[in-house]
Amino acid sequence: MTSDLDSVLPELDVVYMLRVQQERLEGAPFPTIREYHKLFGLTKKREKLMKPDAIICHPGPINRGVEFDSYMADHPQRSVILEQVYAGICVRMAILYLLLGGADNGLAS
Amino acid sequence: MALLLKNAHVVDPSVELDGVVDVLIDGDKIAEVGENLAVEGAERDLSGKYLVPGLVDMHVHLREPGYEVKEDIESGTRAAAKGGFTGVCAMPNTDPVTDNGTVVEFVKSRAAEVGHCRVYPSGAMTRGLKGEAMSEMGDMVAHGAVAFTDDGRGVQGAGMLRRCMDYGKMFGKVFMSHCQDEDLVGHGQINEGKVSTRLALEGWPAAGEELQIARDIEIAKLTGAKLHIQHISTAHGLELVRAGKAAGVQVTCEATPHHMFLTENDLDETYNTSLKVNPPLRTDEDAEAIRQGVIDGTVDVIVTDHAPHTPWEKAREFELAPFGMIGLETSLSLVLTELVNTGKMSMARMVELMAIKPREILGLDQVQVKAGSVADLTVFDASATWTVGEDGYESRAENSGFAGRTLTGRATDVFVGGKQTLADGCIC
Repeated sequence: MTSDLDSVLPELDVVYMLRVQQERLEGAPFPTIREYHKLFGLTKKREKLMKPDAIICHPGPINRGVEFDSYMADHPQRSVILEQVYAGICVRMAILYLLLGGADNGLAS
Repeated sequence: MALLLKNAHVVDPSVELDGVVDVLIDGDKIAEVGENLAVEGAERDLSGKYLVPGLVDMHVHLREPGYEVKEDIESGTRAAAKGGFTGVCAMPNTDPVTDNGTVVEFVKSRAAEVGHCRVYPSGAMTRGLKGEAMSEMGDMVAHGAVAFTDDGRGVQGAGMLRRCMDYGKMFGKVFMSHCQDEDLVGHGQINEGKVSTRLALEGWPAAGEELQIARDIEIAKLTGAKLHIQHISTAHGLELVRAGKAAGVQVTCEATPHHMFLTENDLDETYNTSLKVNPPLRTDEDAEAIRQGVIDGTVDVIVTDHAPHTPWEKAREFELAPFGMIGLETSLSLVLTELVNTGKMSMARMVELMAIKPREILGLDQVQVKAGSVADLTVFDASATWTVGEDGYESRAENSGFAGRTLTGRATDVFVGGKQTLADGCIC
């Protein structure tokens, strides 16, 4: 565990960001969104620290200006967030189908 | 431009120096330390004087921005230089409060412009010192803050203090606690006891301080943050710190000359408001315990809590006068007079308390009397006798509780980064 993002970014293959729940800032464990973004936000400025092929994940929904800037959130090569969302829908569909009695061959039993 | 300091008695336990040697300053560094050095150029004979690593006072109110009527960075650092200090840690109870990077930057830039010593800004733990929301500690560190404190107040909520420490510990800076349970202390004016009863002043009980010392040590243990107890004033408070250290908690503490060398018994029917300080002057037994703690190592640092106020603020009724006394110009002299010259404490221990430990706790680079070190140096005459206040003060304020006292020992020369800030007792 570290609280120094810049020191570990160069080693990471997958940078998995999480959403700060802005609606729960009362009694938050950090002072301001501004400072959070400065210390832990994945920004264009920080991209140069990343491996060339490192990718960016996030479970969504994202907060632009908090854990990301838009450049990194929408990064055409690195960001796989939309693929994650698409895969998430497929997985949830499959789970619901199986739980509701769907058969492996795709036919209702 | 080289300057050779000849024949001073150098005391620096960090390099095991305790004897007469010459010190050559070149630029901002010490170029050479040794016997019978000789160079072409300027030379100063310091025979009969002591030379030590520059003293640092880690608890000073410079009052700027906001209260320049009491003191400002120029006058406060003049007082520091006069007292033999090469650096001070400035408290954040300014106006605006030093609770963001912008004010930290302001303090630094003013100090660079008009300062007579180094100024290390501390930042408020909570916004506006209100104890309600964390301040941007990361931003302040990025701008040069060396410590966090709500000095002047304790953080009243234990949960708030815990959040501050949990979050702020990643920056590696020390949390400095002013310990005062505001609900218990109320409008306490002086130590609660016989003297407060006799003078009909509301009591400020020792427990009001000790409760938060105990609490803060527990929270430091819980969070793993570095804790420093400010201006400790009671014997029991010191026992709590001693126990915390023994249990492995990262806790240090500081004591002021006024809590060591003045007591509640100095208060009388004259209601001298210069003796109104926070925490208050305590009992003889407390002062004795603090002095013992300083000598035995339980107290890590001597500080002044230099707290300048205007004469008209201090000239009010005791209950209405603000807390605090000035101390930068008397601290070294008092320690020499009361502890070192009396043989109770060694000169080397004084250097630890006033130069080495403050830098260690604040995470500053150490200054050592050896080649290559930054030339922040204090020179003093341990036998010079003077009377406090007889020639006024460099500080803008005059609220010294030691006015009229005759002391033995005084700074004569101070160098900050090789540049002289005090020469023969005069500000440069």
